Amino acid sequence: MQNCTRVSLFALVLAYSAAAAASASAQTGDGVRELVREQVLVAQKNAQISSAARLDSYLAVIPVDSPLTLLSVDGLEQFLTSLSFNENGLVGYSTEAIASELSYSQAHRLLSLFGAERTLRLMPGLRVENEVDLDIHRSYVQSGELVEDHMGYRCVARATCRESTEFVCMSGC
Amino acid sequence: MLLLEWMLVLGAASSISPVSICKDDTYTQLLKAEATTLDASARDRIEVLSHIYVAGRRASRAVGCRNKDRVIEDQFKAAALFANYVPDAEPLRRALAQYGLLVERGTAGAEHHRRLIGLHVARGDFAQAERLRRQWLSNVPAFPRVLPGRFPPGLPVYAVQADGSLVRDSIRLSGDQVVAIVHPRCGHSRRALQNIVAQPAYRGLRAKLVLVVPNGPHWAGDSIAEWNGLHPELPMSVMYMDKRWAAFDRQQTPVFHLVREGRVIETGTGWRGAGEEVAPIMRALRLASD
Repeated sequence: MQNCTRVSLFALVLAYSAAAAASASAQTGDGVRELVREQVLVAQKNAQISSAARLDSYLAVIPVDSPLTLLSVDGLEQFLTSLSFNENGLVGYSTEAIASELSYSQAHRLLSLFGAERTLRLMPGLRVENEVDLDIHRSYVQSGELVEDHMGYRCVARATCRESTEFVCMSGC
Repeated sequence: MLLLEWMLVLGAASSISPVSICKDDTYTQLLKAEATTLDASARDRIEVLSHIYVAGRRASRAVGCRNKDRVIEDQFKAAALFANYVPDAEPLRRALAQYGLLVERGTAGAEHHRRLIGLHVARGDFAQAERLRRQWLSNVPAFPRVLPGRFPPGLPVYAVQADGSLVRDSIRLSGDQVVAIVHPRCGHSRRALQNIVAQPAYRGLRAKLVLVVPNGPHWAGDSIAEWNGLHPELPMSVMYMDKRWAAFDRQQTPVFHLVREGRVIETGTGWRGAGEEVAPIMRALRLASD
């Protein structure tokens, strides 16, 4: 099972890298960034949980093995109440509970529900307990940055990113 | 309405008791206050946070909360958070003292190291941040080297070199200049700058523009270097947290400040898409008609 997860993860990373490399050869600078941003938005919009309504539906019949159950009761409440959605899916959340309670693989499972697993690169201090954690750490934290995810800030209505501890203002905000 | 909410936050801060700090700690209150003051001015927000921080510090000294470890942890996190908002030495000293206690009691972990490193980064002490990174978080990228030298007179900044190293520099204000507080990882900032760089209508504005990134716990050197590589004519430098920046809103991005002979006379906040936020600045610079 663990190997299966690793193989899928590597396949995803390879596919993403190939797409990014192809894009990079075709365009440069801001053009590449826009292309990657579009890919990211597609992932966010089509994630399992991409709106408050979808979150409610998910919580109504929450699977027993849901990664949300990995958080403590307080951590879960803090995480859920911090979520911000718009037409682009999840556009902001608090990293507080994830950073203090989860390992890389656990956080990866949780954020994948929202199409937000790439934001793991903004959390360099998560627990590393096994090989999968190490792989994820290598794939995300040590990868280059092409996406506008802004750690320590929160998207606000006046079209600014405002300083907010342990928040991430995501692409699509 | 918002004012009422802030008053409630202030009320909550002043009513912190030695017992209640164990239930709803200072750090949690600061996080809540950050959320309720998202639309407040920079000054009002700092005032609210300051009240909570000071009240929590006083309450932590009183007898009442039996869990000493929890108080130390709370006070460390609270001081580290507040120190990101003000250039004062006190919250930094307090965060360092509380961190020392955490280490002494054997309760310091990765989360505490990460916060302390972030605090040194936010304060521009990259040497100390790098020392701690090597000791505790060696799996994250290294922090930049700061070349020897002092800040020249003016608004202190770090200039980011092509190799990633930093040079102490300053912005010397004279005549009319537009100091834009931006961040390369903020989508609104990037969209604003992409428009300003590309559209002929902003040519006059570009000539007056100075880009400054507010420094914080999360170092964005790679993103800044990337921008500077693509736009050498309009580079970003990094704000060094200092009282001399008091007249500038560094809590959000993008914010455009028109500075005339050293004084901020007009401010435009945000970028919704059409550039209306910089219109008053353009008019004041006689770059656009009314």
